Formats: sequence, C-alpha cells, structure tokens
Amino acid sequence: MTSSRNRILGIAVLLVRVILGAIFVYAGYVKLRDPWQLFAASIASYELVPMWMGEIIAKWFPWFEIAIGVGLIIGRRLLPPSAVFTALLLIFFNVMLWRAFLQGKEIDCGCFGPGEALTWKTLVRDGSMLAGALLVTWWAFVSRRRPQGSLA
Amino acid sequence: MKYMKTFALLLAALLPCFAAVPDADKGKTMGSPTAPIVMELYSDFMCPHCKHLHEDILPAIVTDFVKSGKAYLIFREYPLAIPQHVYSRPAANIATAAARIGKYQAVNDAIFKNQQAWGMTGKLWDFVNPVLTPDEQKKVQALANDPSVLAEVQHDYDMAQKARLNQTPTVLITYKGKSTPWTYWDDYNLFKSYVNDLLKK
Repeated sequence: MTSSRNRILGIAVLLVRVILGAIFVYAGYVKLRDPWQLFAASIASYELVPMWMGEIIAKWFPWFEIAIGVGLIIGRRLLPPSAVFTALLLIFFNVMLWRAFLQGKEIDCGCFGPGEALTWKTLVRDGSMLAGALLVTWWAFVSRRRPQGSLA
Repeated sequence: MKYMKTFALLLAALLPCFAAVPDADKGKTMGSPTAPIVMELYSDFMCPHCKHLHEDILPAIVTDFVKSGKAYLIFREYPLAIPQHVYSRPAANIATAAARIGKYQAVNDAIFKNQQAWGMTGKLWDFVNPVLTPDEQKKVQALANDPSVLAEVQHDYDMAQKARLNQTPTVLITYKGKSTPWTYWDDYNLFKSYVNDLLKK
C-alpha cells in the first residue's frame, strides 16, 4: 500500500520536475533570444540591486536558469542541487514579486522576456511553481534514502 | 508572363518593408519612414514620467537615432483612463488637432512644459494658445472636437491596449517585424545600448 502510494508520488514528482525544468529552460532561452538590456531593465525596475550588478545578472542568469532546468529534467545526481537551487530561486522570486506588487509597482515581471505585466496571476503562477519546487526538493532527499521507490 | 512572375516575387519581397511602418499621422512623426527601426512613443500628457522623458530623454533619442536615420519616431497618445488623469484625453485631442496644421511639436512642448499648471485647472488653452497664431488657434480649437481627431486618439489608445502596454511612457520598438516595449527610463545609456545591439542583429 505504502509502496504504491510512493510510486504514485514518484510519478507526480517526475511530472512536476520535468515541467519545472522545461519552464526554466524556456525562461532562460527567451531571455537569451533578446539583447540582455531588456532583462537588465526588468531587473532594474525592481530597485533591488545597482545597475552594474543588474547588468551582470542579466548577462549570466539566463544560462543559470537553463542549467538548473536541464538538471531538473535529467535528474539522478543532478537532481538534489538543481532542486535546491530551483526552490531557493523561487523563494527569492516570490519575495521580490510580492514586494513589488504590494508596493503597487506597475512593472514588467521580467520572468519570460518583456511585456508581461506583474499581476496577481503572476503571483499565483510563481507561487504554484514554488510549491512544486519544494515538493521536488523534499522528494530528491527522501528518495535518496529510499532508492527502491525512486523515479527521480 | 515571365515579367509578371518577377514582379510578383519583387512585390512579395517588398511587402514586409511596407508592413514594418505602422499607420501614422505624418504630423506626429520624426525621421525617415524607411529607417530600420520604428519607435512608437506612447505617452500621457498628465504623467510626470512622460514629461521627464519628453524634456530630458527625447532630445537624446532624436539625436542618437532619429537624426542619424536609424529610427522613425511616431508619437502616440495613451491617455490613461484613471480618475487622476481627467485632462489627459482633452490634452491628447488638442495635440492631435495641432498635428493637423503641422504644430504638433510646439503644442506638445507647451502642454508638457506647463503640466502642473493645467493639470490642476484643466485650462489647457491658456498654455496652448501662446504657441499658435490667432488663425491657428481657431483651426485647432475647431479640430480638437472633430470626430476624426477624436477617433485618431482613440485609435492610438486601442493600439496601446492591443499591444498590452500597461504604463507610460512606453516606446514600442519594432525591428525586423518584431515589436518590443521599453519602459525603463532611469538609465538612458541602457536604452541606447539596447537599440544599438538590436541594430547589430
């Protein structure tokens, strides 16, 4: 009974991590497709980091997104670090988004390239992604201790 | 028949070039319509950031991109439908009316320059009339209520909504058929670097 429940949970986690991984790869790709200044402008509008730091983040962060997305999709040994980074990133994104939303900032989310306004829908989407990332992170460590039920 | 085919191919090749320049009131444009980039500036006359852009940043955009032939600039009206901006649409109507007699820039400058004053009272004509001759004043006053002028302002507004622009000022940059909104104006150099990189693509 417990074994079949674990198997169902394992399949659910597998689905979640592949979806999350694909989202991260897509988010990175979309940012790399356009000149980096667009993403730098989105970062700057949050008023969290100085411009020089925003420029560095804009140039390198999309590659990092792609790397952790690929890590989530491939899984195996790459899963625990990828899952932890995904969860930490999404915690940070959610804090940033809520902060901007509560401050009434009418800015672009910057999540998937330009032109996406920050609305409650963005908060719901990123909140759901965070829930998924926490589930994957939890599973990544639990399944390491219980390899026979692992699909990750 | 052979020539017909060549002509059709040539026409097909040229079509994207024609499509790249959106419909625009000639009185509200700057630069060459054949420039590789089209910049559509959506602004609201009651928005303080639009005043800042108009007075402090736009001259640099004109120098760097319009006069150099890199960009075709189109002024679009986006009077935000919020209670604080009650005079934005009348201001947009007057500016668009002024464009019909070739006075858009003069009226645009006057409206932004005195934004705080008319923004309190709504007395736009007090600041528009001094930049027009008595004859021009009569024409612009009549045109400001002309259905075609009101429709033009509404058309700009509808285009902004269709492009899902959610703030002013926004410059919608169209290059090689792809339109991207730019809304960050705290660092002009970032915008300049973006447009220059875009041109290298």
